[in-house]
Amino acid sequence: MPNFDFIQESPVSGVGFVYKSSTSAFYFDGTTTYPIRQTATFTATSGSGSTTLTISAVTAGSIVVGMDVTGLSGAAKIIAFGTFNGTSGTVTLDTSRTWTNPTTCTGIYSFNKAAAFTITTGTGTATVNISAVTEGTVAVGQEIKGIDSTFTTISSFGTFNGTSGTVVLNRTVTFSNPTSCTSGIFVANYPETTVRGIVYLDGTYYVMTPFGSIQGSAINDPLSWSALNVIQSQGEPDNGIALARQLNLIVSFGAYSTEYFYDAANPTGSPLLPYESAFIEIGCAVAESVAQTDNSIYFMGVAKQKGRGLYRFIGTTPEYLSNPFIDRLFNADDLTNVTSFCARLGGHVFYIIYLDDSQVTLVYDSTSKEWAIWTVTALATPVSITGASWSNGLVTVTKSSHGYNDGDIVVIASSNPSGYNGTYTVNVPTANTFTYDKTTTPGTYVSSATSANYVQSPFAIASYTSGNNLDIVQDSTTGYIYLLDDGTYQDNGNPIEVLARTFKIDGGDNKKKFTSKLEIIGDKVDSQAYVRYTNDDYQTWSQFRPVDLDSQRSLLSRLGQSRRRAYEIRHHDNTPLRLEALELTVAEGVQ
Amino acid sequence: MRLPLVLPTEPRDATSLTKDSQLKNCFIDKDPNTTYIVKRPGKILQTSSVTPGTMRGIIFSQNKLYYITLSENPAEITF
Repeated sequence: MPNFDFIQESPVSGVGFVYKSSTSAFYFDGTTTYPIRQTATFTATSGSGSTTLTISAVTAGSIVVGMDVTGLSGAAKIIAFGTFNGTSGTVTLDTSRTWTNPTTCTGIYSFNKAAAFTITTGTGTATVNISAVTEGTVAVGQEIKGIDSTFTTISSFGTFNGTSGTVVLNRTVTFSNPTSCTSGIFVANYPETTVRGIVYLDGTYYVMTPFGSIQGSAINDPLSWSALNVIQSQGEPDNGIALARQLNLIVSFGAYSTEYFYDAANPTGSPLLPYESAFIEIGCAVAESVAQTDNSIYFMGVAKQKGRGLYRFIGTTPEYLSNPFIDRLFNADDLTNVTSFCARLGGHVFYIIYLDDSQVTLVYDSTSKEWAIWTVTALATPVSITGASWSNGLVTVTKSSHGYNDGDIVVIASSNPSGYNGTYTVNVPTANTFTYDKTTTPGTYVSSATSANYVQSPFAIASYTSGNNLDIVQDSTTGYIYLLDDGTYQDNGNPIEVLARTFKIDGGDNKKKFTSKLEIIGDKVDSQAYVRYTNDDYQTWSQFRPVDLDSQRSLLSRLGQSRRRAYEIRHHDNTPLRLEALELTVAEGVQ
Repeated sequence: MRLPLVLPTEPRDATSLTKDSQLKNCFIDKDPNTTYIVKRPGKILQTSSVTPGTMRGIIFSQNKLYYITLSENPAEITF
């Protein structure tokens, strides 16, 4: 289920925020949620022929009192909850309808605020006194929100004169004196479907439909939308993909073009007008790739010609940020599930995009202008080992078809004796054995040890927010909430595997080279790195060898011969890591 | 021969992420004299008291962290 997107604080009351999905939108004032448009799909079962409808399951959205229901024998409105608990139970309709059991129904609730006022006396009756109207116009037929969760409307006026007096409601109500209320009508001015993005500019909230119509709210009021406050993106006949804000301009991303709009303060209709000189023939490949920071919008762009790339708008000028290698990854993905965000971490501005189909998270560092891949690790389910032995500083573990790769981080636990337990980087000589270094004997293995390796998966973030100088992310799989912290060197206790893999090094010719030493140049830290190499275009690798990063010289020797060689360095300890270079001592042969 | 570890991530195609130069879980930092690769920031768990699949976005507002639940209502997370 997609996340709500582009949540934005609302200045209506100084607190709260507006949030929306493609089919619904809400305003939360810090205490109460006000639906702007809400939809639900649910299954109606028993109760046909009455006003009591039993809901067996809600398959999408959520149900609220006041929702208009379709799918029954005729139109009906939910006016109260019976036993309904958010997922199942009975609701009360305003009129008796029939249906077969089961029937799939849809519910739509669209509230357009008309007035705000305070009610005082009248609790325990159906006639309440309005003491002051602070906004808009109160009218018969309007729904009142703020009293309780049951559907309440104004049936008639008593002594109400437009500013104060009594009104008669459709039912008896109970409330505290005074209670602030809003009233409104069911006018579906807010669009049925919107693309990603809600933007606030000069007091107006803007959303965009998939057809490129940009619709605005009343000034500083996300609960009130006018059908006339609309302007069309029409520089190209492409669909609307996403809406964003850049400086004091509205950015309308289309499928292969981008238009800008500015606040022209038009007295009627939309206050916006196109910013003609900033029309761009690059569109947005996927709405979820749009992320913003530091006056820049990042997005996966696409033109009429096939071919995606990462772009950034600085002002109204697009800047191409990716390269052919990254673009190939973009083009290979089906873009069905993408998330992205920008964050300033460790003094760097990162654009982080997760491509679910490709199972990769790509990270663009706008400070260094380089790309990296970010992953996380998780411990696999432990399995029992068959046996273990120690000899000359090396433990050999037997486990049929262990499935581990050379260099994996493996946790040995529950061993008798316990000296075998620990977390190790293993070498894998065979499919049924693995080894790890242990300087002292752990004793003769008896029984019960288990092994489990850390398995890598993409750094998949479903949602990001920041506040109080904190960067907060939500994991897309578990939903857990994490802080990102550049002084932390693990992911909640799981190792972070840093990898640096070189390109193929041949010194400019294909003659044999004899490498006698390799030294890692970097900060000294009480930790180990692991190094391996390949001489055959990354097809096969040597075994990983440990390098002490705390030694005066972090050296490996006797590295054999090659013609073209690439190296791989891994590090996963819970320590800082800052590496500068590999220093190779190489002698070239004659052929 | 000194080989800087500031390496471009340049996979030859989308199915070959185990080949060619690559940086993983790090970023590039510079001082006036040197360029380094630096381990990326880690994650600190704030709350796991949620059911997978029930959260639909997070927002920090007025010094409070909220998540949108499956019922489309905000719920405050304290940490």
